[in-house]
Amino acid sequence: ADTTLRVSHQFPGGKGDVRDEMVQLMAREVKAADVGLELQIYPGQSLFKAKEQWGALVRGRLDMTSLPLDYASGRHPEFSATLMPGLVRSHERAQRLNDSKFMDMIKTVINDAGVRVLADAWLAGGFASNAQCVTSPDTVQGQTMRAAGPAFDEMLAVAGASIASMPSSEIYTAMQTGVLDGANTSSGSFVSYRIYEQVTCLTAPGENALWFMYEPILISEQSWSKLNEVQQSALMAAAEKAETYFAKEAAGLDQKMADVFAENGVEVVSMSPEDYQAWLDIAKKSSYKTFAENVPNGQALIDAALAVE
Amino acid sequence: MSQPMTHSIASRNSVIAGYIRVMDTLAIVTAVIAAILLALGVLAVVQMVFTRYVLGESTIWQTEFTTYAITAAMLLATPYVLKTGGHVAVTVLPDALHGLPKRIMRLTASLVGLSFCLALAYGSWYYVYEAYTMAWTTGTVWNPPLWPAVLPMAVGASLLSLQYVAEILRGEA
Amino acid sequence: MDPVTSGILVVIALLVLMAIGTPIAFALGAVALGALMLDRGVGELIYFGETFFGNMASFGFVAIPMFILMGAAVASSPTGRDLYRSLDLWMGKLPGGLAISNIAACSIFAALSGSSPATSAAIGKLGIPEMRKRGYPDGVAAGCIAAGGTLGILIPPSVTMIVYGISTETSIGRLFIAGAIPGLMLAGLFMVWTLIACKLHGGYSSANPVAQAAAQMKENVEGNVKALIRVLPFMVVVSGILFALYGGVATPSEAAGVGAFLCLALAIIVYRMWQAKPIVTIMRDALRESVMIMLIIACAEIFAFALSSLFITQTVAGAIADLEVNRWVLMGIINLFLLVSGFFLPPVAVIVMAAPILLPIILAANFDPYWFAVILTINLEIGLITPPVGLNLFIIKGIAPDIALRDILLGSLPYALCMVLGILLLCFFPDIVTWLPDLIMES
Ligand code: NA
Ligand code: NA
Repeated sequence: ADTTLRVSHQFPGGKGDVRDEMVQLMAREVKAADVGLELQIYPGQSLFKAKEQWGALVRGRLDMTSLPLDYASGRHPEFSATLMPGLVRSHERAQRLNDSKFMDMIKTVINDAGVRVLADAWLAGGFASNAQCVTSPDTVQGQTMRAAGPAFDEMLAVAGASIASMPSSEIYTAMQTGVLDGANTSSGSFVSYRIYEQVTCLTAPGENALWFMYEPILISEQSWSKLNEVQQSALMAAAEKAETYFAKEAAGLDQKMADVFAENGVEVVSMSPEDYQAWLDIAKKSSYKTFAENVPNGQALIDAALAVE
Repeated sequence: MSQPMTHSIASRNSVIAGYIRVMDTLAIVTAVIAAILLALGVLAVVQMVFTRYVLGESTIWQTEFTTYAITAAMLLATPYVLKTGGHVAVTVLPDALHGLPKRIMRLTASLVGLSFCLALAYGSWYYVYEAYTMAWTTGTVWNPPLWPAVLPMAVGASLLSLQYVAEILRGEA
Repeated sequence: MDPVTSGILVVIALLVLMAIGTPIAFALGAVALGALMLDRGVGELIYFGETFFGNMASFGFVAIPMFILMGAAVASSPTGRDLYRSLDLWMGKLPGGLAISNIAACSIFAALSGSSPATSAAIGKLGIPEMRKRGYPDGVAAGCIAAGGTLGILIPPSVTMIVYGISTETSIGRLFIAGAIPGLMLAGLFMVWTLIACKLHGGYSSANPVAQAAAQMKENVEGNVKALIRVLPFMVVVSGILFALYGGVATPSEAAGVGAFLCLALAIIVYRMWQAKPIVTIMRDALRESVMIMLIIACAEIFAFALSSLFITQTVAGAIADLEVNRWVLMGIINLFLLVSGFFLPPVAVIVMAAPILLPIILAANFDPYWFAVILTINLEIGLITPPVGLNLFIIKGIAPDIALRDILLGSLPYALCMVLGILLLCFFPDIVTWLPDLIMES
């Protein structure tokens, strides 16, 4: 009989979201390989809630997921480094980061938890606001912002913003009801969740992208070891194609976001090198510092990431 | 011959009555704690609204605290709600029956409810154990340890199971 | 096992457990857990705590206990009595006036409370004995309170709209506004039927002789004004927090928390309820209702997870989506499904399980999600006054245990038909729902 793997993610299904496209592509590839393997995709939190996916994966309740890794930082504080302000800066550097000591350290934590990375993906993102364009740190003063993880939360709070925590799927409603003045999330999510209908200004990643998040495709080690070798290599081949597809799309996503927002009458700006540096200075005094103090090998992780050219 | 037996039945009955009394008291105690937690959750929201909209300062811990306090309140008060018959059930069919069939039906329903509560208690304690031993936190900027948030669920579900036993004994008496 | 067979078995197991008297929350949870363990192994038990906790602990859902606490603070104060007195004085002379003022009192109380059983309880405690004393038939007395109470979840604030908003990722503020005019429309339909029912029974203008009525009126005018003044602060607080919600200043949870706090404070200040006893009553009522509802929500979420895990949800949704029928036929089928579900399950359980499945289908058929929320709510309101599971019926039974269930049911039935008429009206004139939210929120 065929083996069916259950794949879960939080993004809209069949609407062109790049992370959904990645797993759809893998499902098609695996099916075409005809190795008795099928991927059953549950999009839009229709099986597990966004933040429950990691726990389910670790225990083999869920086979595969496309997951913003920082969502599991409550269990592995190291993962906060994968959504740390200014640690990545550009897509080219994200590619180099994938093969660095930094990612080796992160992947060791992932593997030790009983999970295996199938495909890497670093999504750039930005800020959007209906109060004031977010450029220099003083522009967030008094805004209620949604941040995706603790590192950004802390930096924004220090800069004077109020923080409201929620998954990206709730940003639209929160902006509509005025719970949020501004939000930061990935380019993919900004477009998928149609945030352009709710904001007046977008800070696109541009040359100085403060916001990058690691959202890999993961498989539970338990599920992986149940596959035979032919199935494993078919899955790896599919994952490689998905990763290549993503790398090709990644930069385009940012342009697409800027275009869609501009078409909808949203002002599109980006950060100057000075803005970027000012944020980084705040981050080093807040989120970097907290991270280094609270995570056992925190300083080593930051150093390893910064060491990448 | 008969005297020791009567005696043992009487003492068994008094043990059962004592157990029911203890559980009823515990249900009220946890309900009071739940009421306090609910009130604290409300106060945290008021404090948050004041800080954010009046003082214009940033708020960090309030949403999370309110969420965990009120969730804890809901779970800690379940034994009390069971004791006072507050969990909605359809009793048209059992009410229409008499004698043994009625007793069997009621007992079966209670045992189903009890098994669910035991399963919840087991799962909850396991979750507390994991969260505690692995030092899980909530993964937010406040980032408190997770286990104190989950502990009330484990306590609530355990007392709920014990309360269920008390309700079954009460019904049989 | 294929999804259709397992789906049928799951539903049968649920119905059997409910029929033998298992509390609904536990029946939902037990069936779901059983199905998961059969499908995925006993290991599911280990994760049960985490899943259950994850279902409950959300800042969105905690708005529900706080809104219920707000309603309990209003209900435990003599607000209901004051409201009731004022309305009776104005409408007592109409044929069926007392019954009509009961419906009006339910509508106003619905605007202060987010829950239907609470609305029925608050007005019914006074209304049912009073109507019976003045010779109204038991059926009319019970029916108009049972039905009037259902407005609690349609007229904002509404506990079930919060659950719908969270389940479907729609704006809770907008959902609240969407319910306002349909709520008033239903109240109007209820009143029209009450008039007709009273005429059919020979008219219940007032059992009191005219002179007595006049004397009573004179004596009441003074008390009446005072009563109104006492009700007013609650109205101001609740409208204030609702406007903060619509205006986008506050989240539902913030609005609920501040509302609960202010209404508690008002109950203490205006009605001098600072002694321990009334406070204990408020907290006890709030805990009892919110625990019941939150436990059903959490268990319904587990049930929904099990359905999704067994691929039942996706199969059913696919089958409905593949139906090649006219969109109004589709709407008819969905209504029938909701109506039947409402017979057996409380509103929150139906919403948690069905709304996420139905919403994509509704959107694909080009219906407005807020309009659909109102249609769904009215369907579930019917469920509140139909056996075997009708939360409002339980409340009436609690207030007046001596009224035969048959009388309650027969008295409520015409009101259920009023709601069906209401659904039809909304289908023909969807603007009744969408006009106000468009006006307020599209500025
Ligand atoms: Na209401
Ligand atoms: Na019903």
